[in-house]
Amino acid sequence: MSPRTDQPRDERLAAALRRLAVPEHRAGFRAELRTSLEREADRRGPRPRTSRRRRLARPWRLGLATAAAAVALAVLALMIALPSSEPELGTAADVRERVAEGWASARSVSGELIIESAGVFGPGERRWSFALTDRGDLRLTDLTRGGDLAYDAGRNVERSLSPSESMQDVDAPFGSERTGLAPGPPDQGPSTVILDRSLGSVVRALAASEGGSVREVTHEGRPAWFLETDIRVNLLAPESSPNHLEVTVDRQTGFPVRAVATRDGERVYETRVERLVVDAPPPGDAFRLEFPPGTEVFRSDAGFRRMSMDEAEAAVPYELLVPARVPDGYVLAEVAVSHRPSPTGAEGANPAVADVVSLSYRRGLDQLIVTTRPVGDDPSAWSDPLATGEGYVDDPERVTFAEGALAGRQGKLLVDPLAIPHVWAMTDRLVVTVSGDVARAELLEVAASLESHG
Amino acid sequence: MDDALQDAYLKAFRALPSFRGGSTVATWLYRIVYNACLDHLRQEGRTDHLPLDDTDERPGGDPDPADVAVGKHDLAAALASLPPDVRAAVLLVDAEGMSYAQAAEILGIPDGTVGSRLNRARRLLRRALGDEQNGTEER
Repeated sequence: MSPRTDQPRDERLAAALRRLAVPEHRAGFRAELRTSLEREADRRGPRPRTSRRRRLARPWRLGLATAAAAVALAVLALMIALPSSEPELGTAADVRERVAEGWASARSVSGELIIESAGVFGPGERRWSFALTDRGDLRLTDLTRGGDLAYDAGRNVERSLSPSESMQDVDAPFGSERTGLAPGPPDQGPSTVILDRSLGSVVRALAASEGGSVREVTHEGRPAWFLETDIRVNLLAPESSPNHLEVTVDRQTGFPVRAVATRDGERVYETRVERLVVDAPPPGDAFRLEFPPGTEVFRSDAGFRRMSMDEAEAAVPYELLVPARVPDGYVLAEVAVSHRPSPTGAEGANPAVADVVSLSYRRGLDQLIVTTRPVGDDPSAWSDPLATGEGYVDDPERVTFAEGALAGRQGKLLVDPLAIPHVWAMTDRLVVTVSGDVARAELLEVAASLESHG
Repeated sequence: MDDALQDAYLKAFRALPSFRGGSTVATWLYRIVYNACLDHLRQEGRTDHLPLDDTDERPGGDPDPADVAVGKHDLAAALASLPPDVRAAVLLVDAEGMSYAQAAEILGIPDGTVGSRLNRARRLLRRALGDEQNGTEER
């Protein structure tokens, strides 16, 4: 062979190929092989007398052959261990796994979001363009009514321009600048509500559902899965809450690109994503919004300041609780502290307490947030800091922790399409929340691993 | 897979006395394993892949089964859709790190054919990994 014909090995492809699972041998494989080889040796009959050198060479060769064959099969066995080339339907579990994987591995996503609903955003269709990054940056532009919002995660600044909804003769949009934002719920974070109610809730609905049927379809010319599954009905408004979800998932990216929620066959809302692009780096200024000259700007500061874990420990009058374990892939992205009293819970009904610590962990577009805050004078005044609210009734599961700083304490766990999955609990001094894009068991494991920092 | 491995071991055991050292033991064994795998694929009727030309063009505009499979964003499915000899080439060179010459010897084909099959296989498999699609970049 001429070395000139060799091209550099594709290292990324090589790594991916080596990660492909090679099935374990079936039970009794080695005994079966030994029997076959012994039978073959017997079939040959007594060996002719050979020189000592020849008799030694045969076992050496066989041993090496056996070892080399085992190595060779480990890779070449993939030739036949792989599924056939016939298109295979994914199972509902496959689709859920792919969706979760898509969110967890993406670095950025952009596209156009279309929501058709009679209730949440008024009748008719509304369309937004959106972009998100794994750092938490956000851009949301209302293509139907005008308006623009940009959150620059690096500077922790959110700016928006909104047209007047009530003053039809006012052309100039109103400006808003929010700083000192918390990483996210239950405290004031970036304005992700529209994306959360559309894309996020679909992902969570899928994660919380069971079973379902799948078929292969094409969406905007791209292969997709179509999954139908039943979802939980809201307890307060069962007559208008969807009980069935049809989700179209882009097979390449794992992103839900269309969701139709129905109630006994009647459409409640439809969400679509068009022009989906995953992992294309957004322009450098994509998350910065400049106010036009003369814009009236309302400025507010939510009070959160970023700092190190040790600085946070020193900044609050209690022992900081930190998870000893977080799910694979999550890394600590932000520690933020607020000394400003801030409300939480349904309609902000919980006591407004200061000295809040919010720890944000990120994995792709997923986020996991752990918060601690003082109970205050009246523990009985507390209800779920992440309650869905707005008329929805949650049905949390009661759990008791067996280890960590919450050992022996009762917590309330809620995994529901309408809520961010979370668990919350109280100690004698603190209210603790763990919330984010993780499974039920992972939420509980994170909460059970909370320990005093240092 | 285990049946092919049993056969490969047995064939190696049987063929050992005839091994003359014209190639390395490893190359010789890889070839036995490769042939055993091909035999089993034929027995299972799983060799009905479209023939893979050395060019990227397919007659009649028929979709390459690998093109269909890469849409699944599933490397295993895309790999499975490749004809066995092409699949073996990319496994030997990219997964095992062999040179074209070593792969060519095992597969019984010229070096240049290894290269052309690799090019096509890599393009399809890279797409299954999510590269070269919609302007995305490697991470």
